[in-house]
Amino acid sequence: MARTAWDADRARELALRARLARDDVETLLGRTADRLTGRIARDLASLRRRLGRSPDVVARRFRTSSGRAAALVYVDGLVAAGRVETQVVHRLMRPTGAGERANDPLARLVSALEVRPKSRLSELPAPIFAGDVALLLDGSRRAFLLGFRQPKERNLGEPETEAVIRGPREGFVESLRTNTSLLRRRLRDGDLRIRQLVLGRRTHTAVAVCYIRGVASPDLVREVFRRLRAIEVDGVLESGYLEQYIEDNRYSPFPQIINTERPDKVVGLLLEGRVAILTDGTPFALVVPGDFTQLYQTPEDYYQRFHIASFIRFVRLVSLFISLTMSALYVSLISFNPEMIPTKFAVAVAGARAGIPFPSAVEVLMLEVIMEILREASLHLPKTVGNAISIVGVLVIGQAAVSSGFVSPISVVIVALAAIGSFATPAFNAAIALRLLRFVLIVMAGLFGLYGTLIGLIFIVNHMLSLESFGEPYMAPVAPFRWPAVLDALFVRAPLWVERRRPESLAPREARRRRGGALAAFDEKQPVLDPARPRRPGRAGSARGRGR
Amino acid sequence: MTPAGRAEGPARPLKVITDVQVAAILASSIIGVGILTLPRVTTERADTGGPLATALGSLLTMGATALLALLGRRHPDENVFQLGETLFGRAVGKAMALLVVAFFIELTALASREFGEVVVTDVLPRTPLEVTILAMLLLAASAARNDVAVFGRIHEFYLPFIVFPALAIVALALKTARLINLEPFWGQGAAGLARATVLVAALLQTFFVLGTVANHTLHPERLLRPALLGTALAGFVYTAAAATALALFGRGEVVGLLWPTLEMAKAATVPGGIIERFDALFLTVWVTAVFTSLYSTYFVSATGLAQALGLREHKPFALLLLPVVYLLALLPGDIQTLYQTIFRVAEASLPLTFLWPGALLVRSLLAAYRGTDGRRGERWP
Repeated sequence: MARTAWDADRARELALRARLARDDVETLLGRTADRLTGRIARDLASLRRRLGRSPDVVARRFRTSSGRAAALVYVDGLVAAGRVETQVVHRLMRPTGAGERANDPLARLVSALEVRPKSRLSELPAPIFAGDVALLLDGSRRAFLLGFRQPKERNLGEPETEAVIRGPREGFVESLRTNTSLLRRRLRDGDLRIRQLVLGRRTHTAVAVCYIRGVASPDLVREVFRRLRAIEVDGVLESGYLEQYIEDNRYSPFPQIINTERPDKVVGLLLEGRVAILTDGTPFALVVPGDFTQLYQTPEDYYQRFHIASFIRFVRLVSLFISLTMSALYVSLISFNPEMIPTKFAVAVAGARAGIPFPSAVEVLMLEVIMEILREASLHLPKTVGNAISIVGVLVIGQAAVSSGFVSPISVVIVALAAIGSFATPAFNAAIALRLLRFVLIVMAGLFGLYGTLIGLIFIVNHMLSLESFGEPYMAPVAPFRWPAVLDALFVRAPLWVERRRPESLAPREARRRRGGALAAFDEKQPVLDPARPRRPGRAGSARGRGR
Repeated sequence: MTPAGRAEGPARPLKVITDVQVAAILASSIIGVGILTLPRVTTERADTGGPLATALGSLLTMGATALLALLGRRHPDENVFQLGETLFGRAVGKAMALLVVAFFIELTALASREFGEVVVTDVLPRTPLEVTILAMLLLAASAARNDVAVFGRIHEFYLPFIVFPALAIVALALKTARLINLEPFWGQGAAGLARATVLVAALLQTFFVLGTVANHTLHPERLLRPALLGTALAGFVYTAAAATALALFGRGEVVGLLWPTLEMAKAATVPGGIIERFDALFLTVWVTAVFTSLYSTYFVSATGLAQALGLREHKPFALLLLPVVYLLALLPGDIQTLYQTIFRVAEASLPLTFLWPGALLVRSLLAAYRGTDGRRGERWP
């Protein structure tokens, strides 16, 4: 019995020596420098070479209670160092208790942690830089990755770019895990699938693709993965990097992918059958496909009652249109077709413009440029100063410019209107795109009047109609026309109890959102709180009895 | 749905055009530059029978649309140019395709010239005609580079912006219209009425675009209804415009007006006084209508040319055709010769758009009767 055990130990040792000898030969030949050798000094040296000798990389050497040499390698600041000390070092150094096997240090650790063995050196740096602790043991040809991540995180707060009056005040943060947990909390369904991949040759950024299985079209999910996997880049610093790689038309000024900081919005879009892409290190999630209607909708539309929401949505659509066309229409009416506006007003405009040295197109273009500068300036100043500066700037420049006869007051009004219209657009990137196109339209209006404005407008709309995002037409559901959906897309936000179908253009697996049709249970009037209602004797009696 | 899935398979054409789009394509293609002159030319030929002739011409066009729709139903995977080759052999098919293309190129050129004349006369008197025409043609050519799915969407999107303002102008003008001007509504005899009807049918020939989109429809089996609806809508708008202009001005004055519909828009006023004059607004709407028609004729030309030359892609022709169309548009010396050319070309091409689909349908039915079904590769001996 004892003899066979000895034989087994002896055999194991011989095998190990043979392996080590072979490894030495292979290393000399330069073949498998990637494998861990089991000699801790050599492994540690080669691992540190791979990690680079930086002050934040810590290698802590110690001996376990059985006298075996061990080392911990981790990045200072990413790891809960106190927990490593108590849960790993202390446990391994403590003398073995009764019933514990001395030569299996891992058995003492597994109770507490996530342990992943790795046998290649090249597999170690990425997790270490992500915040894992690597444990090397002398004589072991595998290193063990222990999960002690403790990233520095911002507290959950309300997203500044998408503030709502009614709705959750929680926004995404920079940590991917927290963000997926925010989704899970709102969507406690096993069908919510989160699949992760790593992008960026050097940054190794984690990217999570989220969708609801059985709702999102499998073709869409496959296409998202295909495009994401095709990305070859050294670094992904923000989801904007991904957006620019995977969007359909890279030259279009229109955003074809939705970005949002709001978990509730993402969940709403997932329920429609869309796919979300979360990127580690940024609070901005991407959602595809993105269509034009998304640019002037907010999740709040669905939290308010439908009359209010419809009205607000209509206001946004109008302001979108104003922001694009107002200045161009003004220029073309003033300089080419003054007969279209009522005579009294035309005379007033002409009187106000009497001393202005420039043609109206030049005047409006100058004002627009000033407006853009003011907007950008107020954005970069500290918040407290920014508001004051922008107000004073507009007032002083506007007032002084008018009274000095540089511009006419009506032009200032028009440009201000257009600017306000642009600020009312919920999606910042869409507002910028429209402002950009506004300049084109003003130039067209200055050259060809109403005709030029219209040619420019048709050109822009044609472009929008030609766009597609992940197979979904950009202008859906207006073109291609889908009957009940078009109501919701334009100005009327259909009441929740009417909306029963997911957008057809997304080809969802499950078309219906709600099973069952009418609101029979609600329509049937119950005499609640009715004094004349006959009381059930039993309960009323017992209640009175308790009161006494 | 994915772009990858979309590009595959040369045999089966893209199936993307919805029923609504079929109707929209027909309506917005047919409503075009001609709506300005139509009340005058019908009145010239049929006297007070103009509106009736317009309605009859629209019915005739609906008949021809039905021929194309039936063809599309029988052969859901081939457009009208491919069908020509399948049913009548390569040589005849290609020759007819080239003929249709030549006609549609000329039609595009003439329509853009007519459009340019209106803009220069009424809106931009100091802008050269050449610039106006070029801007519009560039717009049509750039749009024609898109595939058929975008073609459907563009027509669908613009249709309300064409139909509703047109009907609004009619409704506003009706306030001052006198119905007595329409009497007698059958005009001055059958001969004039017939001539006017033929002319109307000739001006509505853009319906032929159905032949190039029918093989892309999602539901070819129920193609007939949306196709007829679309043509009927266009016919209704034309008839309403003709009748209102006649009722507003009377036959004596309509004949004297170059563009009676435009004058009608000038006469319209809106309560509230927000907009002083309607014609500039009407013209902006009408620019959209002209664009959609030009887009259609341009699309037909490019698709037909690609087919005749044995290519699958029509995209390269969108820009290649531009100089040709532009030169043809500048050819007529003045507005008088322009209108003479328009009517002559339009009437000369009637057999192409009305009889050729009929011939194709007869041949297809005959083939089916003989049991060959008229498909490629199953030709009878």
